[in-house]
Amino acid sequence: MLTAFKSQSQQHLKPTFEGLSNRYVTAFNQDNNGLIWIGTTNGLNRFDGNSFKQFFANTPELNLVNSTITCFLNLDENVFLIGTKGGINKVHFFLNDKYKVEVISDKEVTTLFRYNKNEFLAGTSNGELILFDSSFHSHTIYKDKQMASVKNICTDSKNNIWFGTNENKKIHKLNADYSEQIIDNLYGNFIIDGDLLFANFGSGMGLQSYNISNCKNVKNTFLDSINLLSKSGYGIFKDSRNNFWVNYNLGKLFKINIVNKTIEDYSYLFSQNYFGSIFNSFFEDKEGVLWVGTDGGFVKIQITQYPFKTHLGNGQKNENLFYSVRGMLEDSLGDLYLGTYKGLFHLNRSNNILQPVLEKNNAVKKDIKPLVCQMIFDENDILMTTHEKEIVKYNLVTKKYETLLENVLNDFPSIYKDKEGLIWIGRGNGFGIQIFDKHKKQFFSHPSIASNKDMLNCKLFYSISQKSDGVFLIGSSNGLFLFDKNKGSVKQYNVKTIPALSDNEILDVLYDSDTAIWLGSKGGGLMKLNLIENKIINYKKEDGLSSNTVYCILKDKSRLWLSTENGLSTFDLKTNLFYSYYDKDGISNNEFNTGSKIKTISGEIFFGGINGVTSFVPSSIKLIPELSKIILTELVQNGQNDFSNLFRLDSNTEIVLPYNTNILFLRFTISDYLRPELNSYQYKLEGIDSTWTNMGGQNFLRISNMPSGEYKLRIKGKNMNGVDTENQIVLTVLIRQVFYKQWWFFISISILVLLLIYFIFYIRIKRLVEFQNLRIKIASDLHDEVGSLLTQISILTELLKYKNKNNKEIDQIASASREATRTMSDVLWTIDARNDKTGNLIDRMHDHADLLLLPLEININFNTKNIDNNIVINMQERQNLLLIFKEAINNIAKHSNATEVEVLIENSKDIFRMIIKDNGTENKKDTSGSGQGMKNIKMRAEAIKAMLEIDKDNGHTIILTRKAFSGTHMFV
Amino acid sequence: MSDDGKIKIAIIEDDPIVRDGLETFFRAEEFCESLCVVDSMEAFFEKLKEGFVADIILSDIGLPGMSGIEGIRLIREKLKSVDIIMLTVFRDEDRIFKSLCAGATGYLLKDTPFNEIKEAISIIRKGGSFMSPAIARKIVEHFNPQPKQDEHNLTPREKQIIQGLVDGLSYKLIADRLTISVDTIRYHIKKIYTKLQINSKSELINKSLKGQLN
Repeated sequence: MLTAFKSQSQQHLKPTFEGLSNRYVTAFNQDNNGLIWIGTTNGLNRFDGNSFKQFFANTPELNLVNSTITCFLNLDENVFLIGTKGGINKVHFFLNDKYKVEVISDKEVTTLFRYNKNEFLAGTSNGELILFDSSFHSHTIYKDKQMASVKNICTDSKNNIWFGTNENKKIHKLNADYSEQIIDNLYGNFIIDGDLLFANFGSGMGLQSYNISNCKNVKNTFLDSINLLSKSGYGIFKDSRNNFWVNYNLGKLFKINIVNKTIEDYSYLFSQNYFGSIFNSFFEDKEGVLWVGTDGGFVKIQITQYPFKTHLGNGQKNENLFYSVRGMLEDSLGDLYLGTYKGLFHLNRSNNILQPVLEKNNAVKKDIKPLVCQMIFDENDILMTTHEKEIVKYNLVTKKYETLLENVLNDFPSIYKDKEGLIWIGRGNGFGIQIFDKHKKQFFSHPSIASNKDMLNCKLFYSISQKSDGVFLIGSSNGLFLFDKNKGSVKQYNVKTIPALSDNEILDVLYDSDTAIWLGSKGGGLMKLNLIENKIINYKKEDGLSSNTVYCILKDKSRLWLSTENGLSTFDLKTNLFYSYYDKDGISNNEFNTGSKIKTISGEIFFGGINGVTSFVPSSIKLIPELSKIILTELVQNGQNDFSNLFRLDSNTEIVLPYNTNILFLRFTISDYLRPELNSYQYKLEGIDSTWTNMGGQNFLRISNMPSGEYKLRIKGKNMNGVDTENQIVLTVLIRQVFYKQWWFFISISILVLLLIYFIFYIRIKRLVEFQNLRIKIASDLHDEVGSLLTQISILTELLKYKNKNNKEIDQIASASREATRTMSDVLWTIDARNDKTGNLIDRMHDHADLLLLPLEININFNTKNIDNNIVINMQERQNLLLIFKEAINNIAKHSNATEVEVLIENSKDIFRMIIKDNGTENKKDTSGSGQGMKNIKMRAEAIKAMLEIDKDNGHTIILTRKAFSGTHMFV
Repeated sequence: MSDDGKIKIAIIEDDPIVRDGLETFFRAEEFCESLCVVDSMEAFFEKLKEGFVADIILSDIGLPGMSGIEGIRLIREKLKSVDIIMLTVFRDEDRIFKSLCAGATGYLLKDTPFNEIKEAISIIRKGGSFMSPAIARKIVEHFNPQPKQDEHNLTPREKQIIQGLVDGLSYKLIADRLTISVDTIRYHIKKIYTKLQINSKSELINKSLKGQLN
């Protein structure tokens, strides 16, 4: 009987169930974005590697016909089908940028299978086999008489349909003409592989193969040898690497490779009952991860395995079995000595047998198990430094240990035999590195080092090696020292020198050439020192390195191999790309040790770590760049979750946010789901950032308080192997400008101000116009009403006069009424706004003079000078001027004996002047301005702030002077 | 006008007292052959249709319905030779001038003593008219800035008379200065009014179309 050895490589994998809508997983699917959909007996789950989003029959975003999911089928890149207990949902998720869910069948579907390019098959719980065409028209091509539910459907190379029925335990073959053939008494989950049908029967029969053409059993001794393991048959799956995954018994999962005749037991993954015991659903995703669904959750297993070998690495469960390997030596036979904290081991490479190196014939004395740090061969001895600060010798001939010196070293003491055969030990503690004479058991200092304070002050020396020209390369806790023994010179590189190191702790140094000295640091990643150009290039985790603490460096052809604190990395010197491997890929442990490396003469590479040694032939490790996708899984804008794009949260999305509250929350993932915690992310906000910001494993991003502007947010990822995602998330983010800085606001305000100014003027003008209109209206009304009345009186009086001729009183009434009319006329003229201009005033004056003086045969010489007829004079001034003039003319008409009157009105730049001059030599009555007329003139002159002069020489002259009338008074 | 010098007078006046006063006066006067008294232009046009013929029309400027100015323009189109005297309450040069432009041949204040009205009618019937200096200045302004076609321009004599009026000279002084009679001056004034009307026609129509006429 062949015993299945326990698969070591995937011991870290733990089943998952927390967050699932239900622990009974029935089916898996991967959508075009790369997200995983997990069907359970109660609910559908979208899994992004970190969290689940659940959907049920009543979830509005994805209204399923039923919550019990039975199967999936991808129809094309945009459409997948979800089989449920209540029918089939068709999810079309790139339609018009939104998803669309339709129900295309209401049958209880148990399995879905793509039959050919255009057609697919659905098996139902009542034994129906339904064929759907591309238009989703269906017809039943088979109906089981006993109505047993259809289990799994396959086709063979001749396009015959094979399917199982559950309750009556049969496998059916349906020929192309749909005629049926039944393989009696055979039942189980099965797959068709070429000409063979493999069925997992259980009950001691285990996995059996049949020839599909004649349905006869095909003997397979390898399978028979393991079939004894089988008690009951459940799931079976064949992955892309030709491995069968078989659930033999409850809780037992085996990976069987019939060609290689290997079997691996993965049952330990489910060793605790609550992780499930029945494995019915298997799914291999695009990255080569196998998803196994159980009745207690699901587990992810990496199908791809690399040819790493491990030694001493079985300390997963028992800490006592941890072998932390510190030093390694290869002897002339190609065998290895491994120095561990549990003593020295010898690995016979020819038979791969590993044994502790113990003292022979020393039954009494306790075994010496030095806590080995580093080792060298010297003559017939292995000289080793230990963690207990000793120097221990093991003689390969006598096979005896001898402690040469005690308490002479510091931690991590390196030991190195130079090209001249001198043994150098990094002592630290104020000694630097010293030459050790094992015969004298003494240290000797090199004078150049003894006089170099930097060396002497250095505590720890991790690594000593030599360039091709003999110059020593010393990695220390205080940087790198270049020590030229012949010249006696010491040159130091640390974080303060130019060029500067990224970290002072140099754990390992690998000399390639003077242009490429590789340095591994404790926290500063990998460095490439170019001595010729005096330049250092630094590589870090964000470049794909598995960890920034690089313990050991080895080179093979064009690749560097780096053992780190968290994984094994390879660095392609041609492409400058990293690729990393982890325990899931088959290395013994992710944590390696300082100084624990060897490249054998045969070219094999060994790296020691805290749990044994990982070895590999570099050429056998082919770089498989697994291109992963980065997927946006959640987008929250200012607290509002955008579900409208549930199935298409990808690039070309423009987000517009206001200037004051802009909070953007994004969640994303990488479609490499095996160890999501090892994926890393970087983002760049173009427009603000010039470089990428490393987020490590954080798979969400919150950005807020962005100033207004347009940005491009880019997010990219690296999968756990350090390979960049093939795509980036690109979002255009538009932060609106604050309203008062926007052009439309500026223009609006300008318009508003103009409108306001216009409005103020409009109101003033309107008031003026209203006032003027009022004046016009008053004048018109008075004219029409009072004027008419006065006219009527005049007419009536005239009639009386006509009928009663020579009646003096009637004559007087007639005269008075006419006078009243004229006075009224003057008042109305003054009020009427249409007469506001200088020209109107002058005309009125002129008319009055004509009217009064012409009938008296008094000649008028009426002159104006510099009069702008369009100047507006306000009502009071106009009235006063007119009345002054009338008074003066009336005086002349009534009281003087003048025959000539000269009038001059002038409005020069500064002065307004009105001169009324007559040639009268005597006053008939009212003289020298003492009467009422003159009083009125004076009073009115004061009212308009004018100066009045009266000259009685050569007739009678009145001169009125005041400030010039200027401009328009309209808006003042 | 009949051979005996008697004239047919029409009065268009909406104020009943003024209308009745004038009617009483004219009916009592012998020179008035027939009298037509109406209170609106519309009523006057009805009378015209009935066959009434007027030698002199005394019309108020402000009338209900069709205004006096608009009315006389239409009257002038129908009755080429009728004399139209506008009646105004005050000396409102603007409206008087517009009336003259529309076809009026004279104007009177409503409170003008009856005997002066009689005299004015007589002057106008003799082919003359009268003009105040203010109207004279308006006429100067009207003709000066944009002289119209030659035939409608003022003759040198007319210009001299107008200038005399603008200068504030009495008819007598103008007559002395130009060595012509006062009647000749009045005759010229009426001629000037006619030219004014012809010159104003297009302008008036334009104003009417623009609704500026009042």
